Amino acid sequence: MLAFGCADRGPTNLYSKPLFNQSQAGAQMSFDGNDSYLVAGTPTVLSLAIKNTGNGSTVGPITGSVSLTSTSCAVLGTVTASFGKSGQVINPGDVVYGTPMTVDFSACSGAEAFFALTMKDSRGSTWVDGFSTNGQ
Amino acid sequence: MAKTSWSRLSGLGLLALGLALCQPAWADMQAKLNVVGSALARSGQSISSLAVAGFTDAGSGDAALAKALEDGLRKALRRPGKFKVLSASADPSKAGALLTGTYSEQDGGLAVHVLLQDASGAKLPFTRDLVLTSDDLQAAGLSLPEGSVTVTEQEPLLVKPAMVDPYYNSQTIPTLAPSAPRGPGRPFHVDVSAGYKAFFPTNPSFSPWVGGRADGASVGLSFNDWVLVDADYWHANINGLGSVDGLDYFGTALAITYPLRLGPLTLYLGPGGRFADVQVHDTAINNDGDQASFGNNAFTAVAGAKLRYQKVGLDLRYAYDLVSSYTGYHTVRLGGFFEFGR
Repeated sequence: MLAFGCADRGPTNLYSKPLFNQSQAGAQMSFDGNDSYLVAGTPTVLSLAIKNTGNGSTVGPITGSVSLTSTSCAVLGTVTASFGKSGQVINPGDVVYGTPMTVDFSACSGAEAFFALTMKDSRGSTWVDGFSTNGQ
Repeated sequence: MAKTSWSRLSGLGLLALGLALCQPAWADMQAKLNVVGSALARSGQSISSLAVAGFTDAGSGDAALAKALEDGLRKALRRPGKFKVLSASADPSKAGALLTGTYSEQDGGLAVHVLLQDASGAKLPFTRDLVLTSDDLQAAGLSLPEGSVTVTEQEPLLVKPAMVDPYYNSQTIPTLAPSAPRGPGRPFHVDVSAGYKAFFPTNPSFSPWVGGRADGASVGLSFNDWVLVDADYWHANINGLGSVDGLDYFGTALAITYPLRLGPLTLYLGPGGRFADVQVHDTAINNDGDQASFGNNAFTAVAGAKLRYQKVGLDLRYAYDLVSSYTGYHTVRLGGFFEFGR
């Protein structure tokens, strides 16, 4: 294989520090409201999406943990989801979808619910984001 | 991060200077005869075949030194590859032209007058005069025969101004002139080579991952010793970097060099570039098409030596990355080559 004018490809930020002692920007995973949806019912089904808004890459799967609170309910609990496939490189701009999560809103009708989303990849990186809904 | 080490340039400069200064040490009889061969090749003479014969002592008519002179001239004429040069045993009358001449003793050495004749014996417009010093003769294992004519400074050599080739009109031809065949000029040829290349990383963080040295395979082309192109590969097993189990290097090295030809030895020096990928094999990345690789490119300085024997030879080359991405290298390449086109 001949290589001419080679440029970096893929998640080099995962290795640049240990191999070459050079730091590169990492991934930044965030809640993606445009690609997430909620199916009302009892229980309600949440299907969340997260997006890499950083300049580096990470590797799936990403484990998401969602803690829910509400103004009118007691603690709603914590649910988890897995985002992306095992071994999948999540590059800047990529959107990955989580496994569906179920939440029981029956005791807090009409109230707004707050979600704190904590995301972890297999290499120990952690990202936190949050969002809210009216709990319909 | 680009890394620069201009201090290495000074070392390479000294090497180049050393190559230039070492030239007089190579002066010998064959070198002076090579000058004659090169001049004839460039003289524009249209010669189908060429015989070298008939050298005699200008005074005694003796031919004791003729064989050594004629053998040396045949060798010199074959170097440019322009003429079909008949062997010593061939009949000179069957050649399209005859290179012949006379010699005489001068200051313990030998003054040689070379002239060219066509098949009918008429003189062609090519003559050369050269002086072989006593040191030259001694180094060649020759001694002056008794009865040689001594040429004094008042006695001009057997050169008529009208017959002097415009390329050269000095009575004494210095060795290793810029136009000598030891310079870069040489019939076009391509060397195809394969060999071993050792990569010594200059990034102290990276070097331990490959044990201080990566052993690579290299195949290459050399165009007239001016343009060198290599394709290189090495693999290194990696331990202690999570799920990473290996690195693969694919690279192309290109260099523009100036060759200094010293008989069978060619020294060369020049700038170059290296364009490469260092690919990371991570067992945790298993999605189709996903891969991590570093563009590992560099601007390099290259110096080397080739030793030829007929169509084959050895090539030893050193390169240093002056500026590089991620890591530079010292590389040492030892290859064997086969020469085409000469």
